[in-house]
Amino acid sequence: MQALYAFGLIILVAFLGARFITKGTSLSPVNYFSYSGFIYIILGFALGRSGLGVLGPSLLTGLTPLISLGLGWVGFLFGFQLEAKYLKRFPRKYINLSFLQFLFVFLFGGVAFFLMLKPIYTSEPGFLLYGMAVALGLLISLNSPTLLSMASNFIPERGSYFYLSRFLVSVSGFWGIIGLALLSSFWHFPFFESKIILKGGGFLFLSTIFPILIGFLFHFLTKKRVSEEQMLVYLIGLVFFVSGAAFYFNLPPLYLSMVLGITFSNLTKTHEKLYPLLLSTEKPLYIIFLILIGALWKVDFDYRASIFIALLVVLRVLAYMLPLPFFKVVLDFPLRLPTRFGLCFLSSGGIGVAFAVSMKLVYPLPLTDVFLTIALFGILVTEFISPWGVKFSVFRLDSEEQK
Amino acid sequence: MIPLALVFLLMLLLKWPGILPFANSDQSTSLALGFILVFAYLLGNNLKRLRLPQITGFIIAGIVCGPFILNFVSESNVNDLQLLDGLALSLIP
Repeated sequence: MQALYAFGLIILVAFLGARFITKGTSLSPVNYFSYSGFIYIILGFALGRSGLGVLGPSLLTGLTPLISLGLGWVGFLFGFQLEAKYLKRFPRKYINLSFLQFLFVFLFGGVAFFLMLKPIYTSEPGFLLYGMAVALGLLISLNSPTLLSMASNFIPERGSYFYLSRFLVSVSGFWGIIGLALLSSFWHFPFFESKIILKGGGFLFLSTIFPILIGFLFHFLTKKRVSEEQMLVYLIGLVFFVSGAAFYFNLPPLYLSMVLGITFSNLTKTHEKLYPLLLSTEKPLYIIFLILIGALWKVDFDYRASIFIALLVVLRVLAYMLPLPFFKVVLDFPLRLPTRFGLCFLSSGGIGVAFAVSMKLVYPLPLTDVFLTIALFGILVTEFISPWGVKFSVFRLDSEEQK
Repeated sequence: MIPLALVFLLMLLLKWPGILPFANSDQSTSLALGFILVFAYLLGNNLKRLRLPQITGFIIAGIVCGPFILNFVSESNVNDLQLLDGLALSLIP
């Protein structure tokens, strides 16, 4: 019965919270924290096992399917916006830039993290540190469109830099999630080292073909006239099914549900039917997900973790700023790419949180508790400074361009 | 009928003994929940066409896929999902 009360409390907070998520009157860190829903991670943390204990371990076990749904939901929404018809509207150089940016950030971050991890976590086996460095590199390569969507209400003049940054933050997560799928297939828990190519290939095939099949099924079920209720049952049921299959095989639910989203989005002609449904359910589900993550978060904080949190923030800033002039030359990019433009890529938003939680659930190891602490603190810090980053980059560059 | 068969076959494949060594059966609650949601709903809709109440389909799906016949939804899954039982019961008018 206590579980039901706590669940009722979460649902109440989620629905009330969804009503009060507003854009505020300015693009300030506090307003952004409220708009992006990150405040609910802190609320969940206060209610969870490390805080007041209202959401205790046994209750959280019962609510695990909701975390699975939340991860699946984030992945599905991300994949659903990757429609080929929409992407083809942008010049090829934009897509090349997004890939090049991902590659640089991932390699730069991954190598730097590995060089620092090895001398600091001396007792951990090398292959786990490689995995953690790859995961941290992938984490800083992720971006979220939430901040720019909020910023669009305050930007004085929307110009080329706004549209370029909007495109890049929407697409970059795709490469990072593919990286996550490769990591978890070829570094599969618990078969870290035996027959890695054969098993890894098998897991990658399974994690791609299964959601594609479900995507076709979803399309088949909804191509005739269906009521809103039917659509919602199919959507929730199939997202549960796909992310449940991911957990069942220790694969990342984020990747499988992204593939489901991409498949369905490129098959269906009923986008306009699904959008209102997604909009009405997205916020409450997302808030429940963030509260549960906060409640589950076992803070493994020591001086070593604090070094990596600071490193994550610094690397994120540097990796997005430094290579831009080089990309301009290599791609012969039609727009000037000054280093400060990189400051608009500091926010990783919900997709970063979902990535970190996916890692924790796919690899249930003590080291991934450390990873989750580094990732969540790092994300909270970068989210906090990201509104200033957008003001210094996109706002100013677009104003200068208009002059 | 085709979607119903496809969902059933996919679940059968996931529970195939050859695949089980690669699976983590402790983490099967979400899979079971997703499967039973879609399968029961599709079965209910199919029975509606035969002028039977939709709820009959839900009950048949639960019996067939539950711990005593196919075990797609195991006893531990049922225990893990007790919270939903409570929630559903409180919503029945």
